Amino acid sequence: MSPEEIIYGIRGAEKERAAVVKYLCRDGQLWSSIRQYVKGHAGSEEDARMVFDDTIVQFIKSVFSNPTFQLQGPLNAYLMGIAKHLWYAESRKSMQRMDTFPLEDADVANDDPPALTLMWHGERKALLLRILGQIGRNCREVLMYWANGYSMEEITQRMSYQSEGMTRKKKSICLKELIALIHQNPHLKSALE
Amino acid sequence: MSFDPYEHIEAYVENTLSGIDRQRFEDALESDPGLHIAIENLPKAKKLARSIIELETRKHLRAARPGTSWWIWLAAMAAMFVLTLGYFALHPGKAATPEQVFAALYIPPATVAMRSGSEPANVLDSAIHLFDAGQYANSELLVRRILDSDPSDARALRYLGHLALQKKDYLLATTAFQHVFALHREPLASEATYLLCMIDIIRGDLELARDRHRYLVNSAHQPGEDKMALLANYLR
Repeated sequence: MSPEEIIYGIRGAEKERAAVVKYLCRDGQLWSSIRQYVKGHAGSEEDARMVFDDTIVQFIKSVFSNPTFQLQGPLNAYLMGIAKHLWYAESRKSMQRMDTFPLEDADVANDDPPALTLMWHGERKALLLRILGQIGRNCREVLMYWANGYSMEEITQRMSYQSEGMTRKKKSICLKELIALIHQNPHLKSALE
Repeated sequence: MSFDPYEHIEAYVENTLSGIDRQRFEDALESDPGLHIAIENLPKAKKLARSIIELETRKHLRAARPGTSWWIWLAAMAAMFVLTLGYFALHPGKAATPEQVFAALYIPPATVAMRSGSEPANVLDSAIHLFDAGQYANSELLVRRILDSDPSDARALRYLGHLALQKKDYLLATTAFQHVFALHREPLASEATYLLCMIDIIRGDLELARDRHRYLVNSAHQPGEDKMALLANYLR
């Protein structure tokens, strides 16, 4: 898979994104680089697995939500950049690991921080899963495209709907449903602050 | 064609709705109180919807992982089976039952001492007093009364969670402690995370338990070192 195919696939339909994730997930070179980096900075095997997964999630998220996304260099170098940022951010949470970061690594991590916006961790994960489990799969998908800036035309194509009018109607019903769920769950509001 | 204000809510909030549609929307706003709620919650709904891609990708990751050749999995499963058999043969009775996990990890709320003869100052104090005395059904009645008037009362939710644990209602306990966590009030949020972690272990959801454990490791309000060590042991 070329980097162009990967980017195109991520912005396509779910089936294409699944293929990209599978491809990245089986990239042995990427896994060993991330594993070596995390373990070299006081992390465990489990930490390395977490950073590997989060790197793929963050990458997919960035490409998915940015229609003008362009890769400036090799894909693996970009992914390693994300992994370093993630591990640096994780290590900042537990200060005891900070002394294992050489200054240059910390500098790299501060130079060009990507928007690390992963939400599906810990308590929040369980809460959000519970809420989103209450709306249908198609609804989730339509809202996901809409919230990430896709046009009605693009959503219609990806969802294989008959018309943009149908997509607009579907989005409206789903949004109403989601808003009602948020309103009925006051504790969710604070989790989304 | 009928006018659906929910189709135009985003344009209205972004102030890009004009002409007849704006007028219709404002008319709808006057007659539909739900529309005000929708406007208020739109940014949160959008934030949540934006994160669905993360949920989808994690699902794909899980599906992609067992893609290793089937015979490697078969061999791994066989090895695991043999090791498990061997382990239990060598350590009879070491398998942790839900009761054992509960007994090892559960930390009840500290008993609130009251001077003899003194009356509880409020409903929650009465509920706590009843909890401490082991009168769980009466305590729960009071806790629920508090929550009826204020569903976000963190201390009442905390006791509802502990009361649910007393009767091993893990579903109710999970809901109550999730609410406590979502209120972000320490040290209650960390205590709730610890107990949720314990419930996950009891239910066998170690992946979720590890997620919570990561949060706990970074918390300034951990339970005692012995409990943290035990917890880590179960998560290994």
